[in-house]
Amino acid sequence: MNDQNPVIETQNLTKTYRMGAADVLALRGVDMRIGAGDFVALMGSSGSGKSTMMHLLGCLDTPTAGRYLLEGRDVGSLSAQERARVRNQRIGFIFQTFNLLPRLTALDNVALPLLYRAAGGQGDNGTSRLDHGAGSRATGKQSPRERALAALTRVGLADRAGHRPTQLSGGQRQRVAIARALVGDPALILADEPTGNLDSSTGGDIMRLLAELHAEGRTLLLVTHDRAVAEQAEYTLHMRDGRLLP
Amino acid sequence: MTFVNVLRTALSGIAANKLRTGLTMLGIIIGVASVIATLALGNGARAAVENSFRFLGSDQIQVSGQFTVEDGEPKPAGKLLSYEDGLTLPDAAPLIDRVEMTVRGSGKVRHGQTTLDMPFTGVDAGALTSMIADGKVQPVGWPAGDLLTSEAFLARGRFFTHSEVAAGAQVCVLGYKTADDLFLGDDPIGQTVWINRKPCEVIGVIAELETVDEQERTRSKPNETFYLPVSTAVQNLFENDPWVEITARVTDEARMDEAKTQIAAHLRLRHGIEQGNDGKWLDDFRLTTKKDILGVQQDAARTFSVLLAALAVVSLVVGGFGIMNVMLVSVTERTREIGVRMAVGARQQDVVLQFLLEAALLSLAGGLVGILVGILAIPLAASLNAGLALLDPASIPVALLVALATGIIFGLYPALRAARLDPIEALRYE
Repeated sequence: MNDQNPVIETQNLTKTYRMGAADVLALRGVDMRIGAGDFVALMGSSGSGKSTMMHLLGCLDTPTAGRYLLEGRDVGSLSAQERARVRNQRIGFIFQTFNLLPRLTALDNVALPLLYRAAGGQGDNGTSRLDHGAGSRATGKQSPRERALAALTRVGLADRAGHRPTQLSGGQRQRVAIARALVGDPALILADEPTGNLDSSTGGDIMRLLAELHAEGRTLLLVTHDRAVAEQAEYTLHMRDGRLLP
Repeated sequence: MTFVNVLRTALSGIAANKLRTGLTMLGIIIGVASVIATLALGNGARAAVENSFRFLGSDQIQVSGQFTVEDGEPKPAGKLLSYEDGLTLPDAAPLIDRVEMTVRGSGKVRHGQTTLDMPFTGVDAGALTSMIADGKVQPVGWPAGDLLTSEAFLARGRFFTHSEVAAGAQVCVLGYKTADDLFLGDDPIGQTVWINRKPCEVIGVIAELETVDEQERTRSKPNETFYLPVSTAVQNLFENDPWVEITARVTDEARMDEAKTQIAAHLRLRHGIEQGNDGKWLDDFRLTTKKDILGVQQDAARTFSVLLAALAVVSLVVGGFGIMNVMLVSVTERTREIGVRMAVGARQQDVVLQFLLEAALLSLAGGLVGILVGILAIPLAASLNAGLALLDPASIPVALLVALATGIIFGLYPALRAARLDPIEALRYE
């Protein structure tokens, strides 16, 4: 682990949900450090808190208590609008169900984060602290479509740019989703059961692609309950009852 | 997200559900078409008044006698409007700076051996200008649309001056055919004609005129007449006091009603008019402004307009709720899409904008179709309103704005609902 420049650092991260009259403690104080360029698997059974952890790390939700530093910046207490910008510029999501927009072509799906970036005001500036790191490309003056095509090329689907998701196989869809996660040159890629909806052979291809991204210097956090998948990461963190196991 | 991209996104959202979209737009279409037709009715009435009362300026009050019909003959309801009534008016009514009077009659005009019997008009110095403003006649062969001048109305000589009218000078201006028939090609200017045995110097000849309306050309004889100063005509050509038409010019256009009160007071005094049992004055005259005429015409169009306007409002509200409904369905159907967009960085305002624009485009498309339907429906509206309906060009932007506003107002709630979705819940939505 690269302790000098942690991408993720959480301190006593706590999340409480209100379910009816009762409070449910989903996270009970998690301290987690993930270094730049790490490929980490986060394992745990259903109800262990790993999904909640992923939502917090992905800035989709805010913690009840504790701190979450992303690239040294406290993002746990940001407004909804600021969190949207962080998701847009520093985080790439890969979902189990791919979550591509059915009416858009592969290329437009991949370009989607860049379109929201264009009106974000600050553009790519100010948050590209890790751009000098390994794996980042020169993204200066390229148009969103050019960058989307480059990302599609990276996952080997340049020839499917004009296809809609329904015209693609499951593995191809997940590759498009990976290209979408990559296109904004994020600090962190969060993959939630990325092979969960794929057969083992296709799943293997996707895992090899993730390993390649890791080799290129990307930081990946893989959330899974599948031990075989988790073993392909550099190391594994285990969660149980809202706590990180030592 | 740039506007073009938002637009593209919104358009593809609409295109995905063509039938639903079309049905939703129906309310907006009917509403906007009604807006166009309503405004066309008002505009038609206004245009009709403009056309038939062109001679009456907006700063003028027409004073006319009241007539009752007995045995098919019009009879004056009280005293006739006299030349004296008009002459004393500017002094009695401070808001009136001058009056123009016209008196009509028929008389004999003689030159040498030739005597002609024909109608004449006693007028003021401004009669040529009034004739141009009225726009019913024009010099023969005058190119359509060309601006008329007083000079174009004169074949020879000149028209009366104000001082000639004030002095009751013994001068006259002949119609084209009258001059031709009396002088057989000789120059009549400076010659003396005898009108009802009184000598009169010819100072001008009117150009050969024809009515602008081609169908009236065979009936009307605009060239067989002559003109005298109204003062001269009243003094010399009538045995009894003739009745005159009076047009009073008001100094301040904003005080027309006040001016009418002053005129009424003056005429009531001169005519000895009393109040009836109900306190109303039993006037024998009528005061008319352009606004009054317009009001009468618009009252006629109003009943129908109110119905149409009600239809417009109801249709737009129904259309608006249709849009709201379609947008709510759309938001629900696309919950997951919204979640994905939020996950990749769409802010709440991006989502609001996307759905608001979609609703606006929907209503705007309905608005465009509605404008077309409305324009096509104008002849129908006209047939229900005495033929008075005319497309008001300003109603098109108005209709588009109304459609747009409907879309935005009714699209706001669905858009806000989309933007308030929790991204985690939205991503989980099946």
